[in-house]
Formats: sequence, structure tokens, C-alpha cells
Amino acid sequence: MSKFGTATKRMQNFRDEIIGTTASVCTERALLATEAYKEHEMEQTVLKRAYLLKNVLSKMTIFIEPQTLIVGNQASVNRAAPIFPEYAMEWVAHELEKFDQRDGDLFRISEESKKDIAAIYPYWKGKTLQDKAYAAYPEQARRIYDLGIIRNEGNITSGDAHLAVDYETVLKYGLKQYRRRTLEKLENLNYADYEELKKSYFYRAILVTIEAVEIYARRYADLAADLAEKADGTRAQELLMIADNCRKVPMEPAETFHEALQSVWFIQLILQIESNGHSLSYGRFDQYLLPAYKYSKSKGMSDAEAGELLDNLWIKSLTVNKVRSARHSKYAVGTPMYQNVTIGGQTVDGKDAVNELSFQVLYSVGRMRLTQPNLSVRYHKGMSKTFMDDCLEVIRLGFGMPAFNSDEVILPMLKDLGVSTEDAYNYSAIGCVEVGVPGKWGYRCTGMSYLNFPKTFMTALNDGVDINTSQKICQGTGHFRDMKSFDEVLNAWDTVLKQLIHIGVTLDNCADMIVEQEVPDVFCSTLVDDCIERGKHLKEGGARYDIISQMQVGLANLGDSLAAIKKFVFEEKKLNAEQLWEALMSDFAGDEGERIRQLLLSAPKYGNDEDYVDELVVRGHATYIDEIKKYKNNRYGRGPVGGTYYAGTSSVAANVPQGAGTCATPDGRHKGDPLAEGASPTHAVDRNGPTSVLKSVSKLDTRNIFGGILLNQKVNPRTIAHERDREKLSMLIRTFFDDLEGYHIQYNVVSRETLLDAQENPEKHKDLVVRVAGYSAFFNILSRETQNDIIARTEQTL
Amino acid sequence: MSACREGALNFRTGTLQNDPQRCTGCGDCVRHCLNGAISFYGREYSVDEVVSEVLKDKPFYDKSGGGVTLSGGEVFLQFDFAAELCRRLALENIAVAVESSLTVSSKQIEKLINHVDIWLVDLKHYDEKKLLSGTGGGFNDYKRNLKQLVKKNCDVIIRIPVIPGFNHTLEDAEQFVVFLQDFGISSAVLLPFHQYGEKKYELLGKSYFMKGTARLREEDLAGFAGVFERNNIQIQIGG
Repeated sequence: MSKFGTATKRMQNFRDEIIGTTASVCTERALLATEAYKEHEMEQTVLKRAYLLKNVLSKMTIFIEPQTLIVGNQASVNRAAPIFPEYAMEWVAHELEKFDQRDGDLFRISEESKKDIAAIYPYWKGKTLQDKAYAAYPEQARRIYDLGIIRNEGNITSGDAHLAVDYETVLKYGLKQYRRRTLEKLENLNYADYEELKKSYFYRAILVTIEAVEIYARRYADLAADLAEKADGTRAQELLMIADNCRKVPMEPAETFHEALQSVWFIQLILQIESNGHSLSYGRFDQYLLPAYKYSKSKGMSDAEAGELLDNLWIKSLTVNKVRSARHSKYAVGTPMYQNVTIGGQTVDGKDAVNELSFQVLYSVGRMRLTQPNLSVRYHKGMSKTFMDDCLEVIRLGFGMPAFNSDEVILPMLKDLGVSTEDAYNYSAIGCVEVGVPGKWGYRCTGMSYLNFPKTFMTALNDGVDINTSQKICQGTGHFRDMKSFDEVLNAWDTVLKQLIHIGVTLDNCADMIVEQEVPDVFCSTLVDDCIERGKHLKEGGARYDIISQMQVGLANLGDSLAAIKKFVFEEKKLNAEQLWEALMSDFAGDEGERIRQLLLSAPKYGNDEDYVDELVVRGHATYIDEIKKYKNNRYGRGPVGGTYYAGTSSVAANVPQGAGTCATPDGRHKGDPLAEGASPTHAVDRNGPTSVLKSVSKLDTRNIFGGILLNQKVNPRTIAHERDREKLSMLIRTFFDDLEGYHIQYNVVSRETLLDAQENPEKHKDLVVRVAGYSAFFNILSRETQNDIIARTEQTL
Repeated sequence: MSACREGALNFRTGTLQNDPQRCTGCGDCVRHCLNGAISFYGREYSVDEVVSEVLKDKPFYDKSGGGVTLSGGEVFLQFDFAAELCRRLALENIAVAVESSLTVSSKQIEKLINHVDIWLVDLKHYDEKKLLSGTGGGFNDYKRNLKQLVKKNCDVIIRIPVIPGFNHTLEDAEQFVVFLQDFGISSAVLLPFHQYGEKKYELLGKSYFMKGTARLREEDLAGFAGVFERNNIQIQIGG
């Protein structure tokens, strides 16, 4: 640990306190939101939304923890998740008694809070995003949603987020500049012009939200000044400093590092009070904070002082929380907030952008070992050995960070999508693996509906009939039993997949339409170009770039299934279709079933650098990639560059619940077992070592998968205990990125023994953090199924 | 048992045994056994197959300067195969390391010398009698070949397996130092004794004479390594 320094006593204590705080539910925001909506019922939606934020920020409980130097809290106590009634209330009301009885992701809820919810529920019934979006689903799409074949529950129960705002401008000019720009626009409107009239409500709403932020910051300034009177010596001085900071930022430009971090935290926090969208990311943290960092350094700030402030910010980032419905929680286990921090990469002239602050951030995240922030490093060929080595040192701590994204493939892809060179060089990771341009990219560069590939494949083999429910969900091409060639199998896949993509986009459009009409985020839109310029919020097409993607689950299972069918049914004829189908439908029952399963398991598997199967993964995926490109989102033609879709491979933790509802598959997977996650191979079938996994992954059509190729790798800590072994890991990663066009990689460095011990003795492993998907989570709060899924991942040696 | 044409299988000790002297590795017994009691480890490859497998990882070797290590058993027991493989890999610009006991003919060494980048050479003992008792190996061949490699400026990595009761005293360390200095060798790798072999012996039905001897940890070798370092011989523990 010495490399990263030691946290100060109070930060250690603050950290442990937050880790030890049980998650709970806070109804304050829900009550204040209801009050504001009732009072402003007659106003245009954007204004109603702005008054909601103002009411909450003006009246919510605020506090300053005794250890903290950075202030701002999301709910009445730390780690409490606010309820956002305007997004969804049905599940909240129905699960009220079950919040504290879940298998994973428990939330305490008081009797009083239950009463609060019950009291406001009647007001919201039928008015929420969820109610209205569900009602808007066309009949066929709703049926598919109900059957669980395509899920987009997250999109109709939450705000969008999944972006980084323009922190650089906030720090440089302060919010007062946004106020000035908005006022100018408002003053020059011609109200007799319908389009301009519409804009006026948005501009007025912006002014209300900026005022709300101003009030909120001033409340903290006053509180800090009050507390300073009662505090002694050093703490009194610190509180006075906090008071000064809060009187200044975020309205004014930030000068010192302390002011800058306070400014960033206020914004980061308020955006997560405005909406319950997650993956609200910090963007290129080491770049936009560098001026303030240098300024304070020149005024005598020590490394230790800078480090403490950073530690403080990450602990603060962990205090925010989000409660999802029990079902949706299984897709995003571990209550992730995905607040991504990106460091490294290149400057626009292609030079290494790593600076002093990049190292400080890396060390600080290594010291804290928390689930927040989610740290990403932008890799490029010119990254120094020193920085790479330090990244590996942090990876070795075992909490799954940093993840690497590669400039070498991402920059050209951004340019292909029409992003300007300057903006492309400024990209950052958003949430997990996906990327966008901070302050210029609209919501959800990934994260629309989930499509289950293996389930889709089985439906295709079953003539368009869902296996679990025997319902016909789309036009098939006949039953697998009657297919005469492997081409017919591929044709079935293509036919059914295309129809489901169509339905997925329909569901996305419904969600987007209602978000636009009912729950636009005014403050968030303020901080993204060119919303003010165009007079449009993000959902109306205010962003400069707006290209999005969906989530897919089980890519490896699809490819492995295709390979087993091709080899054993059509080439070697060791099985006939009838036998295979029967075995799948009986979940490989009896000796004969098991014999067939063993045969299927012996087929080539993705992850071993075998072209036979890797090419089928690519072939199966190609249909998705080519088809999704043809679709448009509801901002198309309304301003942004794009307005379209691209492919991705993110699945967060959906591989577990989606697997639970999927029958046995021709790759030899049992009914109900988890699916493969992201673009990673199926667990435990990648037996040829790490180079083979990287080679297999590199065969994917990376250039056309802008949404990211999420690769999880797990190594035993012993494997990289020695410096010479870390050098091997470094070479492995560099080859993957420099020569094999890798997009992303992340490592879990934790032994099987540790994970098993944590299952047995959770109290001993309170702060054990593991990589789940594109994010890390505390192992203890994961459901047993997800814990087991992580334990089952292949452990690679070097 | 009757499946074996060579009569290599027997039940003499009450459990199924395979006589390695008779076994030809044809695999008939594995195919006939209904209970999966016999299994094969490994499979046969042609030189072409190995080369194409190795080439899959070429980008990694190019980046890191890494390559392929032939190890054993004794690599020279399959000399023709090894020689051809080394030659082919050299043509592909892939670095090759060969692990050998060097108790082989000098002609064979001569033949390989241009295609091998690194020689991993075990030094089990500095004393001929002890060496014979522990390994049955030919010390004269060893010394002659090692001298040859050193003379030709080959990259030689000496690896000393440190085994309790065989060569692990500080006195032994002193003698190893003298031995290395005689050859003008200034670095060595110490391999702490481990018990990974025990299971293999058991599976092969052989008795394991180190049974129960505790494995050595890196820190157990500190004193031993110190002797080398004081004499300016660089030491790496484990590898």
C-alpha cells in the first residue's frame, strides 16, 4: 500500500463509516417532489421539473459530516436512496414490505417512510413515466416486454443520465455564465413565433434550476459558518473555508483545487437529485481539474493535502445510492452508480495526456478501494511505462480497477461517426465501457433495452415461438427439426433477430417519447452543448452528438451454440436435430441427455483462438450490427449529429437473471444457468490461456461495435505477485491494444479462496470489492447467484 | 485389462497398474474402459501443428520479446522433433528456450546451438557422487556441454532446485558458488522445493521418496541465496 500512501485518519474513518452504513430508503425527495408538482400542476413540464428541483434543494435536509472537507448530501442520511415518484411508483408501492428482505441489494425502510409512500401513491397513480410508457407500448411490443424477451425496465423507471456534463466550462466560468447566456437567449425571443415560444419555457426553467443550485450551495455555506462557531481550532478554520467555497462555487469560476472539487461535487450530486438516472460520469477528470490543481500547488498545496481531497470526493461519491425494483436489481446487482472517472489518453495533438494529477487520482482510487468512482484509463501506444506500471499496481489490489479503453480503436471510430477531431480526442468512458464526448453527447450512449441472444436463437429454432410460454412472438422460418442445412439455421437466426431488434427499438422509442414529454432533465440539459443554443433539452435533440446503443446478453453462448450445431448435426452427423432438440427440451435429462451434453461441450468454444467457432460468433453478431445501424432514435433530424444506433456488447449483470429464464442451449449450458457476460467467453470453457482469449475477442468486428467490447478477465493474485509477472501482464495488455485492436479490458485479481471465504464469513470481508461487469461492487451485497457466477469465471495464469 | 495388447496392465498390487516399460501409449485401454478409470495426459502433435499453434501467439512474442520454451522431462530424448521445431521457430523469428539436464551428447548440443536463444540448465548438485545418487545423471557430459555453451557465449540460465536433505545447506551453497565460478557464471535461479510431483507419482503408481517433506518458501532460501550474493552471483528465487 505504501506506493499509494496512507489515507488520513479521518478519511479512513469516514470511508469505513460509509462502507458500514446499511443502505436505506429516504422519502424526503418524494414528498418535496409531490408538493412541487401539486403547486405547479398548471405549468409546462420543463418548468414543473425545474420547480421540483428548486423545492427539493431549498428544503431537503442538509448536513456536514465531521470528517468531510467537501459538502453536499443526496438524501437525509448517507447511503439512503431517494424515491423519485415521477419515474415510477407502482413497484415502490408494491415492494414496500420487501425492501429489506431481498437476496441481494437490501434497503432498510422505516414504518414512517412506508406511510409517506402510501400517502403520495394515489397522486402519482397513472402519472408516472412507467405508467405512461407502458400504456404507450404497441400491442406486440408490450407482449414481448411482458414475456421478458426484451426488457427495458430501467428506461421506464429511471432518468437517462449515462453522460458526462461540461465540467470544464463550469470550473472556468461558473454557472453565472450559463445564467447570462440563458438570459440573453430569453430576452431575444419572439413569442409570436411558435418554435421560439416553446423555447421560452425551457429557458425560464434553466433559470429556475440555476437559482435552485445557488440556494442549495448557500444553505451549505450558512450551515458551515454556523458549525464553525461551535467548532474548535483547526476544524473551525476548515468549516470557514468550506463556507467560503460554497459562497463561491459553482456559481463563480473555481480557482483552488478545493473549490474545484467542491464545484464538481455539487454538480455531480445535484444531477443525481434531479434524476435517478445512473452512469452520471465525471468525464476527463485529470484534464479539466489540472488548472486548479496546478494553481493550488503553486500556492503550496502538498501532495498529501491534494490526496486527502480526492479521497474525500470518492467517499462522497459512494454516499449516493439508488434503489431499483427487485427484478431490475438483478440486472444491476450491487447498487452500482457507475460514476466513471476517466484519466490518461492523449491531447488533441496526439501527445500523452497523463499528468501529475492523473497519478494522484490513480493513487487515491488505489488507497480508497471503493466501488465509486468507476475508474477508466484511456490507453494509447505512447502511454509511459511508469504510468502503465502504476495502473497494474492498482489492478493488483484486486478491486477491478482501472479498466482500460483504447484510444487506438476508439478515436477512429468516433471520427467515423462524424465527431470532430477535437471532440474525439476529448472522449471519456461513460458508466462502464461505453464512451461519449463529455458535455456534448446526449443520454445513454448505451443502455437502452436488453436483448437476450440465446433466447432469441432458441425462438428462431422454434419457428418464432417462445419456448417458455409457447406463444408465437414473431414470424419464424420453420422448426429446427426440419432444417436441412446449417444455412437454414443461420437464416432462422437472421429472420427472428431482425424482428426482435425492430420491437426493441419500438420499446426504446416509447420510453424516449414519454421521457421527453414527462420527465425532461432541465439542469442536466443546461450543462450539455448545444441545448442552450438550440433552446431544446436533451430529449428534444439538444445535444451536439446523440448516438445510442442497446444491451445484449449471451454473445458467446450464441456462437458456441452455432458451432456445436454446425459440427455435430450438419458436418459430423453425430446427432440428429430431433435428438438434440429433445435433449434441450428435457434439460439434458437421463444418461442420453448427459451424453449429448458432453458431446456439445466438446465442440469448439469461443475464447480459445479457434477460427471455427470465433467466425460463427462474428457471423451471428454481424446480423445485429448491420441491422441496428439502420434504426434511428427520436432525436434524429432534430439537431444532433447522429440520432442513430450503433452496436455494443454490454450486458452489466443481466447475464444471471437472463440466464435464469433461458432454456438449455446447444452449447451444453443447462437451463437456468447464467449466460456469458459482455463479449467475454463462457466461463470455464476458455482453456487455452489468456493470449487465446484476447485473440478470439480480437476477431470480433471491433470497428463496428462502438458501444464497446466488454472483456472481463480474472487472474489469481499469486499469478502477478512478482514484478516480472506484472511485466508479462503489461505486455499482454499492450499487445491486445497495439496489435490486436482491442477495445477494452478489465481484471479481477482475487483468488477463489478469498471469494469462497467471503461467502462463508461476510463480516470479515466488508470492504471486498469485485468487478461484476463494467463496474465493481461490494461482494457482500451481491446475490448468491451473482457471487457464484463471479467465482465460476475462468482464472487465467500468465 | 484384456484390452491391452502389450500386457502392460495388471492388478498385482490390488489396484490397476500400468507398466510404463510395456505401454506403447496406443490408447486402447482408455477407449475400452467403461468407468473412465484410465485417462491419457497429453496428445501427439506434429512439428507443423506445434508451429501453427505457436504462430497464433506471434503478436504477443513480437511485442514482449518472449517466445517458446521446450521443457520436459528431457527435451533431448525427443531430439529429432526438438531440433526440427527449433529450426522452424528460428525461421519464424520466434525466440526459443530449451530446458535440459545437458547429460546428452555434445553433437546434439552442437546441432541445436544456433537455433536456441536461451538455455535453461538445471544444476542439481556440484558433487558427482551426490548427483549420481540423486539423479543417475552423467556429470562429465554435463560439464563438457556446459563449458561448450559458455565458450560459445550462449545465454545460459543456471537453475538450482533447492531440495531439503539433498543440497540445501549453507555448505552446499558455498560449493555451488565454487562450481559456478569455475565456469565463469555469474547468476543463477534458485527453485524452492515443492510437492507438485507427489500427485503425478501417485497417478503413475510410483512410490514418492520425498513424500511428506515440507515445501520450501521463498523466505526459507534467504540465507542460502545470501551466500551466492556475497560472492557476486546474482540470484533470482523462483522462475
